[in-house]
Amino acid sequence: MPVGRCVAGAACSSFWTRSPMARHPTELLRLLAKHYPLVSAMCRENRRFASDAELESFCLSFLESGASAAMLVGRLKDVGVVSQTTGDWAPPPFLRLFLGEIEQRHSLASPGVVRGWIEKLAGLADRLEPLAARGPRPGLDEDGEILAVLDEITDTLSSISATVAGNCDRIGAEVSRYRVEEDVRQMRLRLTRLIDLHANYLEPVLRLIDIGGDFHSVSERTAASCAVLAAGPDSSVSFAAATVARDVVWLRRGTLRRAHEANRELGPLCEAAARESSIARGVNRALDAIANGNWEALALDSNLQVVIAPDGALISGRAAGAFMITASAYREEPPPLLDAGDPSLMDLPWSAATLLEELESQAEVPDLLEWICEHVGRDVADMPAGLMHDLIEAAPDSFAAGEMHRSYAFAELDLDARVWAWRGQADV
Amino acid sequence: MSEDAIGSSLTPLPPRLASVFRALRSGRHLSRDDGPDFLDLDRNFESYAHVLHGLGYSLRRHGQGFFYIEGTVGVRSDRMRASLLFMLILFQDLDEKKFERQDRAWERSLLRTTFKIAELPHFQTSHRRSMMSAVGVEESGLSRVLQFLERLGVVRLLPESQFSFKSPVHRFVELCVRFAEEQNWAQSTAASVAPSAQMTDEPDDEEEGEA
Repeated sequence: MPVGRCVAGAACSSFWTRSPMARHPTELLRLLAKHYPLVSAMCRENRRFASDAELESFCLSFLESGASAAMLVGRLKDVGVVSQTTGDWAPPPFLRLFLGEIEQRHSLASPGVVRGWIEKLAGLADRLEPLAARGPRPGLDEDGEILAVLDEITDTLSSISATVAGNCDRIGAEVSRYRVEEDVRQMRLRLTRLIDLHANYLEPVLRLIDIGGDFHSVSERTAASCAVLAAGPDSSVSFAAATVARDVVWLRRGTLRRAHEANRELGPLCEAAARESSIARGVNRALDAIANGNWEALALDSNLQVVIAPDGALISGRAAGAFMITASAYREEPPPLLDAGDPSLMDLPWSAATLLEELESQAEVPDLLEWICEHVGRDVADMPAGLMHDLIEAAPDSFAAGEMHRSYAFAELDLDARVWAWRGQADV
Repeated sequence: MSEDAIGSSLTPLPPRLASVFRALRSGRHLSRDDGPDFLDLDRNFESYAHVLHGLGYSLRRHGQGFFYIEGTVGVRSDRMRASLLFMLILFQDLDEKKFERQDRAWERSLLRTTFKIAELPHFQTSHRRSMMSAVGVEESGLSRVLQFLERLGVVRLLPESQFSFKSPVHRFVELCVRFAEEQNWAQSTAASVAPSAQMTDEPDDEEEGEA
């Protein structure tokens, strides 16, 4: 073997160039052969040992009684099965990858492989359909051809079924290992692998073999051709076709059931892991933004609206509020009773119309404001002045302002004003 | 239109309108734990939605089985920020320690988990302490955050200084998922980096009034 080449072939040749070489290759291989379960478990579980005692404890479970764990640990270190790189003792990367390749731990048949088998089955179905349409002709070579195609279909179906079932078993084993794992670092690694298996293997395979997938349609075609051949006269072909028809249905159902079982086992784990991974990413993003004082990035006013409105009136506006309070205080009551005596006459307020009516009965009034004050009183100036204004507005042609000013005395003030006069209609 | 005709065209109001309305307007998320109010809201969702819409609120029914309202008078107080930060740190801690749990997951069992206040992770590291301090929450004030969350219907306070979550906690969980799914997070955070002075916010008098 040339130096720097891996016995597993070119696929892992690059590992040798990156990893430290074993100090005694022959001794290493001999020790591997002798203690393969121990080294294999160590590599598969990616174990790290903080002390010799821990390493000895791990080895002890693989040794026969009476054998010295301390001596074995010394040998493992000598030949380079474990090396100390970051403080812990662990199998060197090249050894882990080497054993991984040998054991094909990571070589679950990919969806591409399963698809390849299905495409082969489709080709066989294409060959079988015209043969089935013609029907078997005893004695001719075609019988042999039909039997050969049926044999190949059986083999292909079995391969598909075995590939899917085998891989589902491996997935089941991975899930079990994850569940019993106690080391946090290992758990994370295993969970990552499970998520990868679910996303990149199981789901695509399920799409292929589920109802509506390629496998289902091609197996339907195969079963239909086999049914035609099986319905013919008894012969080796009809017997073989009937058997294949049963196999198609049985294997398809079994394969699908196995894949769904694996999905039921793996799916919830991966869904929970994927969702929690998403939540954790969001949490870390938000915390990072908060740590930078960047609350705006969280857009809480739109993303996390929480309405907190104090209890109180729903109507804004004091007037509306006061009205509602008055209205709410209303109680049904009988109308108030009138006094026994006659009601007294109510004083009617003076109006411009009343005064004008009275003015019209007079030929002339030389001082209009004085005349108004004599009627409505001199308590306040506003009302006589207002009435005078209204009168002039109502009949502007009947009033005239004189040249003279005079002072009008009221209770609280003296009003200096021009003297206005009234001239009745008779003078016009 | 006769009086009978008017009467028949009106939808009868739900029986617990006043109680439900008061709860929702005080920020409460009504979940199954709220008993009769939740049941009335669940049975008469359309009526409630109609009435609340008329008052400017949108009634939301969450997939995890609780109700809350949104409106223009949403609160964005320091206390709300403190609550969010409280949740974020707790979620981060739960995720970090999930492999120590039997079920190796935390979200699905969130409503079944009981938390001891003394064991909360918020003041266990200086970084978290300083973040909490930045929103005005010291270790002694943690119970105020929990009381606020209880008023919102998110938390159930238990004896012996313990608490558990109610289904409305999923509003916070889904907010984190939304942050994670934000395609332009890097740009949006870079664009809107603001000094921490902007953390000051409108006073939360209205909340105090509710207490």
